[in-house]
Amino acid sequence: MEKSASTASAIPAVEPPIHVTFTDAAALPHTPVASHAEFGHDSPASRWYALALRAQHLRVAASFDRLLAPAVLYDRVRPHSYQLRVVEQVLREKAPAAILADDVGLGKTIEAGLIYKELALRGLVRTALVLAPKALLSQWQEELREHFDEDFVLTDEKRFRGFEVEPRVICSLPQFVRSFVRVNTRPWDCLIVDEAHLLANPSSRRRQCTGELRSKWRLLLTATPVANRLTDLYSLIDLAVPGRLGTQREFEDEFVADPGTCRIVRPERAATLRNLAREHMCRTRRSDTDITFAGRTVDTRSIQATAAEDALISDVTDYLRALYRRAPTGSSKVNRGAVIREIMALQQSLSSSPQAIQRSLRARAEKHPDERGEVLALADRCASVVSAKESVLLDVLAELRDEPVLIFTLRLETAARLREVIAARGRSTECYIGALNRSEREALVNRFNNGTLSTLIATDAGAEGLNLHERCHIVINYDLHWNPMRIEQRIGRVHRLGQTRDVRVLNFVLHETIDDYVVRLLYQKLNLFTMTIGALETVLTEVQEGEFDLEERILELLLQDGDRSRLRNEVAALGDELVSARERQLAAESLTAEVLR
Amino acid sequence: MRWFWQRRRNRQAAVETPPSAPIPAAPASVGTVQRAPTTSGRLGQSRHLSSELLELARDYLQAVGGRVRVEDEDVLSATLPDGRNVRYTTTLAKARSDESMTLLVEGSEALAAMLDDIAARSRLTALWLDAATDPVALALDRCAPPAARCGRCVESSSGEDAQTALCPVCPLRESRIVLRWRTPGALTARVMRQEQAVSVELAYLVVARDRQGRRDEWLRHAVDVATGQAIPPLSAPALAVAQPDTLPADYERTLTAVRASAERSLGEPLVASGMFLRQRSLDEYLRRLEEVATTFDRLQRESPEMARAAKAGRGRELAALAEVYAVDVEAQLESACFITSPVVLVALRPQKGRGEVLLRVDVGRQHVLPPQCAACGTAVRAGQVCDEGHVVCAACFATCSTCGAWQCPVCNEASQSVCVKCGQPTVESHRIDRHPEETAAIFTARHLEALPPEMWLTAMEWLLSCQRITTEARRITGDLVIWQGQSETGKVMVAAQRSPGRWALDEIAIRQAAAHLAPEQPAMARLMLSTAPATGEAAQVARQLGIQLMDRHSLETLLSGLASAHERERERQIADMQARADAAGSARQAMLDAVDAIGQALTPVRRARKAGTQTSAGTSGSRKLIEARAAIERASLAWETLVNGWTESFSERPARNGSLVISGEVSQFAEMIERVAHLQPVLLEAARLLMETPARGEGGYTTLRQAVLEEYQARCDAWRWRIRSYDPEVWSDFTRAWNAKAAAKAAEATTAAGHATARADKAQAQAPRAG
Repeated sequence: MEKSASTASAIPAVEPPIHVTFTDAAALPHTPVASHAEFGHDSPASRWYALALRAQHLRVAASFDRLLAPAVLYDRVRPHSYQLRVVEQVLREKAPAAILADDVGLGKTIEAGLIYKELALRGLVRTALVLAPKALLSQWQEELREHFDEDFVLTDEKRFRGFEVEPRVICSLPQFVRSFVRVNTRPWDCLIVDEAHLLANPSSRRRQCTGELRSKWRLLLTATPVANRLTDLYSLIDLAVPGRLGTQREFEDEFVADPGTCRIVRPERAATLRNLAREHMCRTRRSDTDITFAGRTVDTRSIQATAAEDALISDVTDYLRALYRRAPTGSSKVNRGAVIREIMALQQSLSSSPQAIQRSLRARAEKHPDERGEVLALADRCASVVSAKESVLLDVLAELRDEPVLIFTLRLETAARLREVIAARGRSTECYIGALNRSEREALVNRFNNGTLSTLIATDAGAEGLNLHERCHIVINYDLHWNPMRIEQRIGRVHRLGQTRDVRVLNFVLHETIDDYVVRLLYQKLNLFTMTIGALETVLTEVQEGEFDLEERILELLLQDGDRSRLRNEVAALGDELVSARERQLAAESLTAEVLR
Repeated sequence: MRWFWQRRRNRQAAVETPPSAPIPAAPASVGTVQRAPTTSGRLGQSRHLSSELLELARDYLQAVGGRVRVEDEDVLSATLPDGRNVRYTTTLAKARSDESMTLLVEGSEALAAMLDDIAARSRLTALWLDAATDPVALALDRCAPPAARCGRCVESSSGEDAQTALCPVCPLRESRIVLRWRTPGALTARVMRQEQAVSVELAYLVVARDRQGRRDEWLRHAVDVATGQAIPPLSAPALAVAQPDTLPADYERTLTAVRASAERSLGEPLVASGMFLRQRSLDEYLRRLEEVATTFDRLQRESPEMARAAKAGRGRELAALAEVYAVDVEAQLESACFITSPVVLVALRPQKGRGEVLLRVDVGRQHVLPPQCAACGTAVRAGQVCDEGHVVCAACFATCSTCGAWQCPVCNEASQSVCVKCGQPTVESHRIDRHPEETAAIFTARHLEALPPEMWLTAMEWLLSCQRITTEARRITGDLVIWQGQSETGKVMVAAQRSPGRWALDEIAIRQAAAHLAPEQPAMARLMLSTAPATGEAAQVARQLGIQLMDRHSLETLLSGLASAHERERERQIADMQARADAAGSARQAMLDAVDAIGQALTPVRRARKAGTQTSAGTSGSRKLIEARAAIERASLAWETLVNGWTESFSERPARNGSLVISGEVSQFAEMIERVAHLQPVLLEAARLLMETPARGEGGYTTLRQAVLEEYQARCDAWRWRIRSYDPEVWSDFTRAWNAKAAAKAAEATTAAGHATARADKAQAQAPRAG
């Protein structure tokens, strides 16, 4: 930026305020607390007072020269060295605002979480607001809870008491815009925006609201700070550090070589722009790290269902369609959401196994006596159905001999059934489920990792945070999530740093069912199973600017119509949509790399 | 005589074994508590713990009644009174591999819970102290006459120097009370009375938050309830033998009064902390302020329709910026400890003189409270004693300007204007305003001096960084802090001394510091910082020892420079831009004058001379014309370069503040003037040659000549308008400094020149040529 001194502009001679206050750490009690009588044989007042004096320096908040969070979170997260470097850079040099622009999959969430935790441990941050695309809200909540021991509340949770009082909130961008007046009734200590390139458009309401939000710390996370135009970068830096780059016109005059498309930097100003960006941005390229992942091969088995199984699936799906049609619409959005979730759960059971859908239907019959006859009739039919997937699984396991295998399923009933049939073939098999206590879980993992257990069947509820890559490199998805991130989570149990062999992923789907279409027409088209870790989130946020819920879309397609060919075409169209989103994302990555190389 | 004080009353608690956990020595004044040594005596048993955290955990667990086992140097386990077992380690790998172990690190939940419990249990305590010393011996030891042939400490009336050690051997430096009796001589002492004194010790956690993070510091402040005087916090040895007590009946009222007193005393260090932290970020803040303000100003200019929104945005962002750079200094009262201690009133008097002074000797704390000034009531650390035993501070006594005798204002209250010795009515009052109001809004040496200990260290390191010295290692030796660092020229050793009470920095202090500043490496740069004013001798010794001395005066200068750095930088930029504008203005005028002269030279005169005969004269005339055209073209090329240089000296876009950016240096504009002086005659000569050619001729001659003339007249016009496009005299306003109409006219003239050139080229091709 060109600068010159002038007396033309009247800059207010405002000095930052200094607040000096005296407070009580806690109300002083009315009686001396440390008397001999109260604290046993050897704890007179002087001893406690002496201990308090000794402990004083331990209660002093450490400076940022030394990070506290990695040690405090020792059993929750093990950050990479490049992540720690980013945390240090942000805290020491870029405070109080920074753009975290690492390549996809390098763990920007971990970096943001560590920064937040460092600030929280020092009492510098008490309130925080996380803005994220809808598809990532739960993931943020889980990560913050699991890795950082921080309880953030989602705005659609029952316990959410309102923006005015809730100290730590995770919120979607549309919700944030809708509730902006209430959100901005108080200042926030820290604002974290995931997929911040969604705020690049300066005239969008979401960008304006974010700019106006009163927040001291601002962390903007995006892998593509230059998503479409150079002005995206301007917009992000201006959001982090208002005024740093002047006005947008000034920025364009200075740096943009092609004002129309705004994608080319004036060559003579490229270095300046990169330096300016570096002042406020931390960017780690994949090539800057020593991270190497093993390869991945995917084998999807499209299995022909037995006639009874096919009929059962068809009838249960018809029942689900009827339920869907009956779901309330319009103003009863909440009720409709609840019904959709119920249908989704039933559909998952149906995809899983006859045992699982039987159990789910029975549970529904108890809950909805008016449907009892119809539902129980379907449930009773399940008892006689054997899934074709079972025999294929047994064949696969026979081929694999003693190779350790990790099998994922959505339902407990399926896990129990599989355990039964696999164990009957003489293969040591156990189920890893959410109901196990910590020591039981550890024992199972140890057995699996030391080779005394060759098959581990896990439900998703129990599989979070597992490290099973020491001996195992084969994952079987006996049934599938429609949320691709959950699939990635499953594979991530063995496909992680330290895996030495190529990971083999086997997907079991029944031929010409919705699962089959999803895998063939959607996931395979998108190369989902071999996509760079983390790229999936950005693809999903790319579609409809982050307001996209893939599971809901698939379910809607399934339930709207019984015509299989139309369903196939619509899933294929959805796949095309995702592919073009992926292409846009790749283009954005490429532009970002070119501008910020 | 050894003084034995009887225990006040028989207390059950008193028979308990006193805690033997080592308590670090507390500094003699408000300050922090140092770290404990890594082993503890009784509790350590045979195992040595590798970490202070584990030592604290061990002592804490024992204090709550747990049975503690030291499993390893980094592992501690305990069975709590409720039967629970706990295991702590400070080793990450052990905590990861063994689920039963809890990692004990700073910030961890386990440690936080422990610290919170300790804090809660020690929030309000009461202790009492046994007599621990002979009060008479202590009183005699702590009082001293002024240094031989000196006495400035008891005489000085300057507000800054009052009660300060002004000579190297001043007893004040040993924390003694300096009293000058009218009748000098050895002192005798006797016990007058014994009583109980109650003092209150408050512990504050001072949390200072600014843009760069958070800085915590503990401050302990003790007050003698009877006199209201601040006294040193309880020392570690005294605390180690203190007994539990019950709170005084009126403790709440006392606490309120003591808190008020503490807040008055701590106010200055806290405000100083705030001033320092603000100063540290001020430069950056002002830069950001300028960025934000000018950006929004520009936005208003760019889009007048958005003026209102831009104005609101400007206000919002400026307020947000002030909030980001705001400094919060919060002193949290963490604990209050009532300490009852035996006090003996000891009367001191010279063996051969009169005048008895009563001193309060706290035999529990082993501390002598300074007497109060008989005139103004302030605590006197250095004063004079009259024959009636009135202790008078330096600010209250009067001196006869005739005979020099000093007078007690209490004894001679009725006749203060007459000297008691010589009877002359010429008495000069020493009373001055002891604490002139500090009105400075910037961070000064006075603030630096008032900073709490840890903040003072931070401030010193900041001062070093301002001088581009990066510190690498720090050690504290007595009252000296030594840094090893790196400056732009190489390695540097720095010593900083914090003299209490603004004492003068003497040559002894310099020599002491020099001993720590790598004397074996004479080539290394050495620097000494002190908030005390250096004496002349000290400055001389520093020079001799090769130490760069930054005493109070130098620091004042440095701080004042830093405070105005941004403003000065702004002023420098404005001055620089003005100088460039002046130089550019002169160059502009010189160029315009030259262009006008050339333009005039190219104006056709009325005398028309026909070229010679059609063949010879026409051919000769054409040749001359072509030669003249070539000459003027060569000269005008240089002019073109000159005018290009002129336009390139300015930015086409306004600066963010709306001014014209003059990128050309003063020297470049001066060079332009020189080039004008050199090129103008050349071009004029070329114009003369052109104009001397016949006005008319045959065979296309006239057309060629007309075209050439038009070409250079148009070029002159283009130069003129290009030069006029920028007016550096009004550089502060781009809209006035940049003349868009002139630029447009320049473009028109350039086009016209191009057309004329084409015509001339065509005509020249058809013109008759010789040979």
